[in-house]
Amino acid sequence: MTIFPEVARVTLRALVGRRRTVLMLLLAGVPILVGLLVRANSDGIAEVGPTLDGLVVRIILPLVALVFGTAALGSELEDGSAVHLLTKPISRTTIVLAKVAVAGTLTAALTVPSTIVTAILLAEPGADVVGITVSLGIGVFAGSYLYASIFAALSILTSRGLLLGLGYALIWEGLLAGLLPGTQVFSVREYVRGIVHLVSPSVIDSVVGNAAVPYAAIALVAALAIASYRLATYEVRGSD
Amino acid sequence: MTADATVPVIAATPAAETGSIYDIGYRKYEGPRLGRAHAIRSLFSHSLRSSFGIGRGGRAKIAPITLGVLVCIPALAIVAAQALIRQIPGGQGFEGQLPVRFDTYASTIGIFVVLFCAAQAPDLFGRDQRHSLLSLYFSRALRREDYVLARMAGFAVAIFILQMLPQVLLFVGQALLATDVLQGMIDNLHPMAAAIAQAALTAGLLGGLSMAVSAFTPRRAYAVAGIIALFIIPSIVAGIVVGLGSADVGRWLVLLSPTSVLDGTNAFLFDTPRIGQFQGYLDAVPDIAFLVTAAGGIAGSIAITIRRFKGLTA
Repeated sequence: MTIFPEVARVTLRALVGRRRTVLMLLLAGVPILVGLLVRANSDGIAEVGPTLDGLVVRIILPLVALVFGTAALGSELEDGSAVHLLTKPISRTTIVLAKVAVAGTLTAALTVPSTIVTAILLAEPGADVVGITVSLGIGVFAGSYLYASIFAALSILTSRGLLLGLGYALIWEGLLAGLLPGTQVFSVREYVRGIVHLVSPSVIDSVVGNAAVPYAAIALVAALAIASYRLATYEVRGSD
Repeated sequence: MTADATVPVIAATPAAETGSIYDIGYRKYEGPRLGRAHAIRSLFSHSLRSSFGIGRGGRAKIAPITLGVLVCIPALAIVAAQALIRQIPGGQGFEGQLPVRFDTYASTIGIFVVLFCAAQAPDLFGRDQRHSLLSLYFSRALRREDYVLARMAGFAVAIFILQMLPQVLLFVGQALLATDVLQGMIDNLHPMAAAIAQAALTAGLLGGLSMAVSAFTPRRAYAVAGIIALFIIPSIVAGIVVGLGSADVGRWLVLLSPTSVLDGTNAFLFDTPRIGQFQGYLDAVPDIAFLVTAAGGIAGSIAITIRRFKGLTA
């Protein structure tokens, strides 16, 4: 398993330190900006949970996870340099785990602080700030790894993983969640809400409730298994 | 073409043993030169066609065709629902309450149009830059601003078609549902005109902005993320700040969100109350502000894109 940190280190170097990071920092800064705007105009709001759910969990978190998750392995597969990794005697599962670990950690590193700072800014006087920040922080932390693993799996399954992931986040979790409530059982956003609800029930209500944890665990394992299997049977081909 | 052009020069000087020069028959192009206007038209139709994946590989067709089908589903579903409701005794009364109409169609399919922009705009400008094809374009009769305008116009027309296709289906469905088909068409002419104007504004604003983003970010992934961020995040931010009922300045924030601006023009064109996050809060923002912002956004995105390509080394 000594190869794991090495793959992770290379992935981290590839993902950090370019325009991508600046763009993602800007994205993560948006909730804080909203928090400041609200703070400038009022003493804070009562519905911190739903507001952050609409902003961070629905948009910022999936978008950041999407960019890191699909770039962690997808961009290498796309430009062909993944061959250098795939032709070495490294377990494909190890590769997937390392890539997801880095993408998820980067996502969490950007979104969790942003969530916590925004929650502190938004919370009105007398609110249970600790409960709000801890529950939302844990939820977004779990969501980072879950989204990253799913989007990494998507980027291995298809060359258009970015677009497919966007479609999933916007259409499945956004549009269909309202029209067909049953789809919420299969939505990461609901799992995040469920985890937040589990830690601190008053922050947010949830459809899946306590079942969110097993569902999220199943989704995480399934995404990692599918990604490893697909990478194990991956054929190196020329680009079209 | 003269036949003797291909005759080797050596035939004239058979004595030379080494170092002879051959005329290997390079020809000058003497056919018609189709000129700048033709180049613009070709690039326009190429942009329009490749926005829908026509003339590209099968995998490039998946996204536009999927989104094309998705935008049509509400129109087909609502016509089917109307036909079914009429079977129910007394069902006629519910027809007016169906949620999908011409005035709500733009917002119904809004998310698909945004996804179409994110999926297709980065290809039009990005591929030319990634594969360094710009020098080939600019060495022709095409000027740099022609290139930009032709590409942007082609993409805007593609978005326009994407939006009008389901509304034409809706129009035909409404006409056929009426017992008097001609009267049914006449009744729907006015909303149809507003729908065309709204689709044109949407095509210009969303198309222009997404092309401007992709002109600056040749890498596909960044362009896609940038377009989505530009279209989705401002509307949520504006929605939160405005929804909190904060100061008057906050209301003008909606003008920074392209999709909210288009919601505003939609309400103006159909003369309906502002929907979505606009409810109630925004009566302070006059209709004209939305129209001016939309026009400014279109002009600004074109100007900034032209500027970008003027400065690029091809």
